[in-house]
Amino acid sequence: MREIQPTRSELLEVTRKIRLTQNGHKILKLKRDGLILEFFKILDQAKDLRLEIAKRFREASEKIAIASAVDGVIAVRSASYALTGHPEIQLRSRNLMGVVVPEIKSSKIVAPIYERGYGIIGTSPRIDEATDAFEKLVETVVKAAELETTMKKLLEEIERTKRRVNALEFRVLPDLEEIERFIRFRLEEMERDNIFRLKRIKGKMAKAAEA
Amino acid sequence: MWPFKGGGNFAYACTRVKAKKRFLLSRDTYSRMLVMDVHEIGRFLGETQYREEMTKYASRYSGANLVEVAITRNLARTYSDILSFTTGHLREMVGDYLKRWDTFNVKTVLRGKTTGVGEEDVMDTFVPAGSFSESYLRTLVQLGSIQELMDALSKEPSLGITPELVREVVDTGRLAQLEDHLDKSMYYDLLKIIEETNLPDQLLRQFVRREIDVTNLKVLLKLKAERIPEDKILKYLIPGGLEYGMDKLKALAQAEGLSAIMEELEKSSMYEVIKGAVEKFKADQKLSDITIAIDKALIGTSEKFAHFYPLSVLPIVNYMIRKKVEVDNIRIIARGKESALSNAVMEDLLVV
Repeated sequence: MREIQPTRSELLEVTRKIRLTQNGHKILKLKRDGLILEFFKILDQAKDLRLEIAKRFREASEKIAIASAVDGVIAVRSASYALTGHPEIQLRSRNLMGVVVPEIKSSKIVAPIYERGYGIIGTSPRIDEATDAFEKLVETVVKAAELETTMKKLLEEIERTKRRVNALEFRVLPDLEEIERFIRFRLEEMERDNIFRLKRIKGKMAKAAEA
Repeated sequence: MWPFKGGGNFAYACTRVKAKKRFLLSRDTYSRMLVMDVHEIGRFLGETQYREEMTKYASRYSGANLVEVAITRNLARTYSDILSFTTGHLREMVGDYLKRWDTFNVKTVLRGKTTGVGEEDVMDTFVPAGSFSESYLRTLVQLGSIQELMDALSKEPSLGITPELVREVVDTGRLAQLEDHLDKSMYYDLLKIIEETNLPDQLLRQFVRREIDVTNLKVLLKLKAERIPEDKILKYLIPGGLEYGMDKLKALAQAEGLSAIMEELEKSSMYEVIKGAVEKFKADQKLSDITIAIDKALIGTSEKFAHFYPLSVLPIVNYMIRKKVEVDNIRIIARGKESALSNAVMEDLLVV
């Protein structure tokens, strides 16, 4: 406060800043509300996806247990290592209300039976069913990864925006208003000083004229 | 005149097998095992014909692993035992039929090698009942690299491994093509070896051709369910089936969806046995039940053949199949218990 120059130009500058801050505050509040709405929309999808993952995981676990029981552990382990190729994950980004969120696209998680790397004739359908179940599980996990990362990014942005809104509302704006008040008060006081000084000069000049 | 006279000790071997059959676990025993835990199953098996193996491996394995190793080794011992008490042409036929275990053992050693399973674990999974001895299989397991292993296997004329297959496995580490080749050549060789000059051979050949039918049907069902194009399906089919020749299989591979196969199954000789599974498949489109039903139909066929020809090779083949089914059933229960599968699921998987 001590470094503030109580000048008219400073007052104009502070008033401009206050107006700008109020606008910014309003926009940030709108952004925060928008992000929260978007977050809740994605939250519902993420919840459904989580349930789907749990369901698919249960199914896949049961299928692999059945395959191990019917075909033996070595056959299952060997079939699981047979697929040498790995699914490619393409990571792109998109803009969601100013937040950069990932867009994950995976290529070829579900492979045709003849590309799985194990023999067709001697492998039981139980191993195929277990493979199917795990392929579907990985597909759901990739979808969930996109959604949950988006959710995490949105949460971070909501938190950041909330902090900015609060900082503007409870810190920046009150400070600027305080400065504005201080400058006005100082200017008014300087004005009063001036008037008083002028009156004194006028009085002195009148006395000198009379003498 | 007795048609099999001079070809081997059919009467003696069939009587021995008949006696052995009495020791196979009954349906009631499986029901009892379903309410036991893995350790109780282990203890129970220790009081049956699996006693020797259960005792031998108890210090190295426990739980479901112990059960699996013990029953697998017992299966190998049983097969070797059968081979040891058969003579003459009968022994040759049993030996030929058991060559499928060479395929199994080779696949196991390759799978073990590519997946980094320990040497002893691979050794314990072998069923050394084919033409490859246990010591030979041990030398295969001990080979350092997949290249050395493939070089050694390619020297085995019975496996017919081509340099292209060696390159495929060594370069890509993929076993699919080799595994399919081994499965196919096992049946090709079997059909080549079993001549049709005498009745026992004819009977065994007929049964092997029935087995090819079952294998082809399972492959067709699997691939058609995955909507695999016809040209890709054909290379997995084995010629020589009894009821389903290549023309019929080709037509089924060309047909849209699985309905044509179902219609064909309805006309087949095994329909009475698989009727329920076909109806169930139409409702839920799940392959597991129908493939189990087809396997059951094959066992039924071997049972029927064994009754029709009680002093042929077929009662012995029937016993070997039933012994294998028993081992599979015990493994299903033990592993199922370990993975906390429900009794209903296990019951559906059992072939009884």
